[in-house]
Amino acid sequence: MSDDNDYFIGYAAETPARDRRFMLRLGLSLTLGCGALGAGLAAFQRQPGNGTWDVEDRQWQGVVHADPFPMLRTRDVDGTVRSLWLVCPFKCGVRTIVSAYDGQAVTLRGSLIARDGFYMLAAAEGSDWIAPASSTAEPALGLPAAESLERVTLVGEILDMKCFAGAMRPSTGKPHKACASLCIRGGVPPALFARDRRGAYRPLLLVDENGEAHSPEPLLPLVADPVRIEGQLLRRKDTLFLSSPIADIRRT
Amino acid sequence: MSEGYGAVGWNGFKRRYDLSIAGGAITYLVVFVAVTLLTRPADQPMAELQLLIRAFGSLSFLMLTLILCIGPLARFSPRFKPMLYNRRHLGVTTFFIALVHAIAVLIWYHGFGVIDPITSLFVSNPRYDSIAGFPFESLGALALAILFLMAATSHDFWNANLGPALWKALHMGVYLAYAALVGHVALGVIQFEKDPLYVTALGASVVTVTALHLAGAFASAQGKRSPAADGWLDAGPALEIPDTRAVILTPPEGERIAVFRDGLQVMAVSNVCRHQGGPLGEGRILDGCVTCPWHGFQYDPANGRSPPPFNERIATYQTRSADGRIWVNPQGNPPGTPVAPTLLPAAKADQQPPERQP
Repeated sequence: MSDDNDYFIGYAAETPARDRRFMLRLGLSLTLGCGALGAGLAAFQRQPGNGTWDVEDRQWQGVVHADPFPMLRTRDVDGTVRSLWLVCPFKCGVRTIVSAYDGQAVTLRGSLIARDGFYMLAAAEGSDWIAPASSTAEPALGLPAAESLERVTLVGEILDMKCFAGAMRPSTGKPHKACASLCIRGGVPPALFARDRRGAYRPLLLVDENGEAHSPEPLLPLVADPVRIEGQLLRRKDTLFLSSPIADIRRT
Repeated sequence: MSEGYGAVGWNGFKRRYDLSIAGGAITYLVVFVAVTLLTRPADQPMAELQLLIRAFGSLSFLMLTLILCIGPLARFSPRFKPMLYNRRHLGVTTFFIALVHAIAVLIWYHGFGVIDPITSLFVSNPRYDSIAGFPFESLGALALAILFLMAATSHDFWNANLGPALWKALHMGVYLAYAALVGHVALGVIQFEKDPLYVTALGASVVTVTALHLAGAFASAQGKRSPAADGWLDAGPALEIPDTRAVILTPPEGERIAVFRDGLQVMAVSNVCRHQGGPLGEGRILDGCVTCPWHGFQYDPANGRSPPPFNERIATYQTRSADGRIWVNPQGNPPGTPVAPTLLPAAKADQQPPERQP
């Protein structure tokens, strides 16, 4: 083949044989390389966490409480009393709606989000997801008193409980920071995601020094960053809280 | 061959080129998704949209890395020139893959909240004063905006109407886009994924792109010539210029110069193609015209003009021969100026080296 025929011209009908062979080998190599790189990058990702969101709306009964965060106290099928934290179907809370029913027996429709013994209900779309029940509020489903445990200093990451419980997987770290910030801004309960003494990760709902919900705005710049919080550990039956003023939350 | 923009003129090569792009991209996406699904524990599935965000995001970064490597590679080996040709298809595909990533991110991470998604993108992380905490999303948005501008103006219509210089400057923005994307990845997912593979892959991309461009710049600098006392540049022995090929001179100032030999004639023109700034000196003379190796634009080396009906013009340079060496006046003539070729003695031309064998 002459040198003339070897000169590649993109608009020409024929591609020189040498260029055709080279491009074929290069194309195959790049395709295989893409596959290998894709496999490697995919295989070594961190595990995303084990939360689940059963998106089918179901009927629930129990007593709702608005503070510190909206919750439904209900009996499981085996009679166990559980706290189901309430959020809207998107990135917002339901405090305003639940406040109208505070301490009352209700029936409501929502989908269950669950992770490691933490339960949350995403209210069904629309405004008629909650209604007063005909029964009276069972005393055992009342708001559990806060039991003061010990003062602790914990290191972890502030995130929103909805994503942690299963709305997102993964639900931590810098890539999720904006989403967690948006959720907390909208009223989803914030939590400190920290290791306990046994090294296991667990969430602690964050409240202020009075045990009330923090105003979201001051928390937002700290979301998803590594932080150290000095505070009082509280327990309301099946849920742990960490009580501290915003000033005691510091980036590490 | 030259200006006259219209629909893409498909041929077998372009079809194979685009099929290869699609094949490589689909292979990457399928493998990434499949391996992610297969390697997660059954009780820890990744959310589907988050999986697609990662697959499309990493693919667009990989493709931009490849795009930036093609230019220097084509400088070192002509075999890569076909890859350079229609690189715009690769670029436009990269933009659309990045766009899928961005839309999925807007929906998943910034949608359904109490503020609109675009506002959320820029205010949800206010730590613009921190390096480690910097809102990496804004860097991704910057890169996407640049890729959009480049994709939207990739057609020759924009090259002709914006002018080659402005068009080229606009498309040099790809380096800013790449830098922004490196920051986007380094300050984003790399801070979450702790396996060394991710830092290694990012570092390999940066090192490869940087090293290839430095090597290319070094190779270009090697050709820099100091002028003789009269200001003319030595292009070396006439017969060392391969027939229908060129040597490239880098004058102390101004554009590089391509000195072509066509049989017994030596002519010098600007090395910069009016189309996309391609290196004319790496092309050859076909049918009496200097032919750009990038996209086949042609110029008559005797006057720097594209053959009718086209009207692009490049600068021409005066040449002369002395003791078998070619000298070039680096003071270029206005684009399209006819210039007399330097004629070589027939006896010497007969001594020219044999044609290179493939």
